[in-house]
Amino acid sequence: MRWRRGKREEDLDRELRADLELETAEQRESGLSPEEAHYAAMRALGNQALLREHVRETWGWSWIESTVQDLRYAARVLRRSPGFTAIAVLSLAIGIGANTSVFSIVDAVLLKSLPIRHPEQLRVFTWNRYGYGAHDPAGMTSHSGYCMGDDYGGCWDGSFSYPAYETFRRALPQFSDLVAYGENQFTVTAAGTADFAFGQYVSGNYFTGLGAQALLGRAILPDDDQPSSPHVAVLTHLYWTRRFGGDPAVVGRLIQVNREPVTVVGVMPPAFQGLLPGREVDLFVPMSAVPATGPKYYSIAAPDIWWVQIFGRLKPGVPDQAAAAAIQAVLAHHIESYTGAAIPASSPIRIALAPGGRGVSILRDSKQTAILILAVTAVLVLLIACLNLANLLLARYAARAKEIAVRVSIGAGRRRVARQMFTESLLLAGLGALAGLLLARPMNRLFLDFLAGTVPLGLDAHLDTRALAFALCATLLTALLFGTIPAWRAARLGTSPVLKETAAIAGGGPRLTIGRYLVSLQIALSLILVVGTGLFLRTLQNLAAVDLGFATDHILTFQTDPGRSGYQHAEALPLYHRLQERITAIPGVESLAMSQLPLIGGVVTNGGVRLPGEARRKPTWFLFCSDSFLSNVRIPLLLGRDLSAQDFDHPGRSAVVNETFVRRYLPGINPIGRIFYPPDWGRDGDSPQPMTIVGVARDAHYQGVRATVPPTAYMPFALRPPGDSNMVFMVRTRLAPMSIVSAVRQAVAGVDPNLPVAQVRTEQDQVNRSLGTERMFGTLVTTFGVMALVLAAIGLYGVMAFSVARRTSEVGIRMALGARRGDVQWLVLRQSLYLAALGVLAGIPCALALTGLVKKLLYGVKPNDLASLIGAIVLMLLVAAGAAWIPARRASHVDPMVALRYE
Amino acid sequence: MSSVNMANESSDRLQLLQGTLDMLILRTLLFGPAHGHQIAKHIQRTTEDLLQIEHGSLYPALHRLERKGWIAAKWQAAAKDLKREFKYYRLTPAGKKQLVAEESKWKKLTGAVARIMWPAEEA
Repeated sequence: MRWRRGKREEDLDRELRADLELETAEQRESGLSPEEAHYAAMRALGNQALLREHVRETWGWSWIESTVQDLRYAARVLRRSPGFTAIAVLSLAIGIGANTSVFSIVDAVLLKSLPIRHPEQLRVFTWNRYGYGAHDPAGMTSHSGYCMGDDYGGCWDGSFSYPAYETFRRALPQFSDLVAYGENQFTVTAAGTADFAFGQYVSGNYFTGLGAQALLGRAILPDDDQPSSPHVAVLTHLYWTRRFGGDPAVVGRLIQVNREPVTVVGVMPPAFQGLLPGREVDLFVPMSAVPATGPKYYSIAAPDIWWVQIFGRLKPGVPDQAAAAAIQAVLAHHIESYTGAAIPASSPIRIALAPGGRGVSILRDSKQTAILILAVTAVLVLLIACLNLANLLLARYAARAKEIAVRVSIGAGRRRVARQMFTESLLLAGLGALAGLLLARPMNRLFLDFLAGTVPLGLDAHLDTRALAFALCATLLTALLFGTIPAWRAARLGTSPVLKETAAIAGGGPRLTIGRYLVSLQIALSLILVVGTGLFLRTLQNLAAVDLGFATDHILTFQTDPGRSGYQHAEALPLYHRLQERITAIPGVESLAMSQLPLIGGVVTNGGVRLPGEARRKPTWFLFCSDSFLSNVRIPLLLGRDLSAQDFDHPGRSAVVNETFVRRYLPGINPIGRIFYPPDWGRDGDSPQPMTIVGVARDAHYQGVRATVPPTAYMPFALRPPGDSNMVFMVRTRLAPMSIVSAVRQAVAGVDPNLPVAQVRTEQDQVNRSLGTERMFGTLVTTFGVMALVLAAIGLYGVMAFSVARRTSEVGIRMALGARRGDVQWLVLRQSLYLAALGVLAGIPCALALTGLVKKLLYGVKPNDLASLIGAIVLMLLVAAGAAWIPARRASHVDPMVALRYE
Repeated sequence: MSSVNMANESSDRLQLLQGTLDMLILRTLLFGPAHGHQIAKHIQRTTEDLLQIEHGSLYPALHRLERKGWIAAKWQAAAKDLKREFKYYRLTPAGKKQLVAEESKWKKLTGAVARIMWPAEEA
């Protein structure tokens, strides 16, 4: 195509030349001299460059060519100032990368529909027990599951019994498919190792009803969910890659789930993580496996055990209200059939259907604030980068005013100039986006890791086409944001009488009024981030200063669950002792403490204790632990003694309580030897026997770093509730904790290779993970805060340097008239401080408004913390002064003579 | 942009209505092929200098019409001076049709304008 274009150009050239010659000849005939005739002809022809440009436009697709031309020119301009380009691309990359990565998380948690057939038809069944108080109309003996808060402070409960689900399937023609599932933790033994896995029991029609296809093999089918069917399992993509290295041969392999042989029949695609987005799921097994593998508190036969969640596919045309009323009637009838008592008409069980197309995101509720802060921060960073860039571009274009004026005067249209300038912005944004996409992947992993905290996240939040589309939009928007004003200004520069001016005394070149306000705006936004940085740094400092009450150093922790490896409740105790012997025999191991739940793991066992002579139970946390637990984790004893081996061999019903327990429940009396009655823990017919207090321990944190320590009782683990055999091992070692992991694994395998060594980490790591969200925001906001400061410095420097250059002759005059260097420096400094102060003033209310968002994440510091605010303001003003320093010095070294003679 | 200035000097020169130039060019070419300079001079002379065609509009218009297929161009030697070649434009059949269409549109327009401007004469 190029040669044709060349030929056309040549053609036009010839045509115009011929015209010019004829015109010249005619002018000569009218009596002008050859030279005059030539100029007259040239005048008649007018602006040739513009004419050619217009003719070229009629040739068509010239916008492609001119765009290529613009791009080439822009690339050349950018290459010529690598410093500016690097700052621009890097700041945009961070901004666009952060936004893309945050978008992919928001998308996965809040927006994306599940990868199933007609997700919009799905409804989640919930029932409301608000108004019943302690009275339970369903006569439940066990309840597991989640609640979603309702508008009245109660909750919409998502759990039903399996028989209720079967009744629904028979009696609800309003739904074309009803599927059920229940969550459970498993111990999976495969390839010679045992480990924990998160799973779901699903109804046989779960996959067919949802329309979810397997990636490899097949999904679970209704036939698999028969009492006589062999056990099968389907793996999620995450688990398949993590545990089986993505080996396709896993399909058809026999694994053990809670010691039961189970055949893997398929692997699901990455996007399918069940109906609870964000919740990690490793495998699905049919409901028919519940009797063989499930815990005692799950049942597919008992109507009084409520644990399954139900999703239904509402038939088109059926209103939600009508369907809910039908469910309500069926459920009431079902409950009456097994409790034998009518549900009073005055307080019926209310059913609500929630849209289920995006699944039930518990994550959505619990991490919403964190995700919102993440999004606000990312947007702020991008805005700051845009403002900074707009500002730098304004200064650059102003400096290029002459070039632009020349281009306009030789025939570039104003629009053409604006387009050229905008192309430069687009190129910058494009480069920034490319670099940003490279950054987005590691950022994504980092954010997800931090968001997860102690519980792993099963989230399909990779950078998919939706995220790429978002990045593209963000890039265009970014270019529009930072490129429009400078391009428009540049085009206007072209028509100002710049060429005639030669840096006149009153000020050479255009002023930068807009630029100044942009800088102030930039400082205002930066202030928000810097205040946030202060708040999070203080929070982290406060959290690090919290005395947990026990020693976290030199401890390796792991968990195992003998119950899921085939041990009966009574067999577990001797097993724990064997494990204790083997592990303490490992060279370098000092001692071993065992407890039923981890310290700083986010979960606790709570209940009420009754003191003799009192009717009301008093809320207390319990930790079931090994002998010498307190001394091994270094919780100091204030009175009495630690739990001893005798308390375990002959469960003498001794307990240690913490000082808060004594202060609150036994004030002013010697607690040693006192008794209390622990809760029943659901043991049938076993009337509670009293515990004797043998010691008082100093308060130590149990649930988390932030939580205040409530009354707590340390109980021998021989007394732990039946059916719960999970055990946390805390191995104290003189060595680096992670260095003994393989020795620990060997020791456990030496006792029983089917025992998993799961959740292996140091106790310090456990504490850090529990503060994942706080640490993420600490790191993130600090990084972005520092970046905002640097960009603010660059922005201010740009404006001040430009202003000084423009006012060189003014400064010269001032100095000629007797101004001293100090005066001139103050002149520049004052302007910079003025701009910063303007930004700070605008930023303070914004910062105060936005820091309310992070209230929940702060610790020991209020969102409107004065020290953080003042610190941020001082820092901002210091940056303003620093940024003005070089231009101020330059101004004060202006030689009046040179300045006045200049140009 | 001296041609603009020159046009402003004599106030009785007229500004062309949008789109009219195309019609004038097509009408001029009805007499036979002509090159750009001739077309401009022809319009100028015929209107006794009332319409001055600027090169800045003429050449883009010629190339636009050529692209639309209403006129075609060919390099030919001039009749007077065989040594020099000019780019001669001629009307194509499509161009003739277009001219008829533009003409009737123009007539309707001027008629309508006239009816408002001089209602008495019409009656």
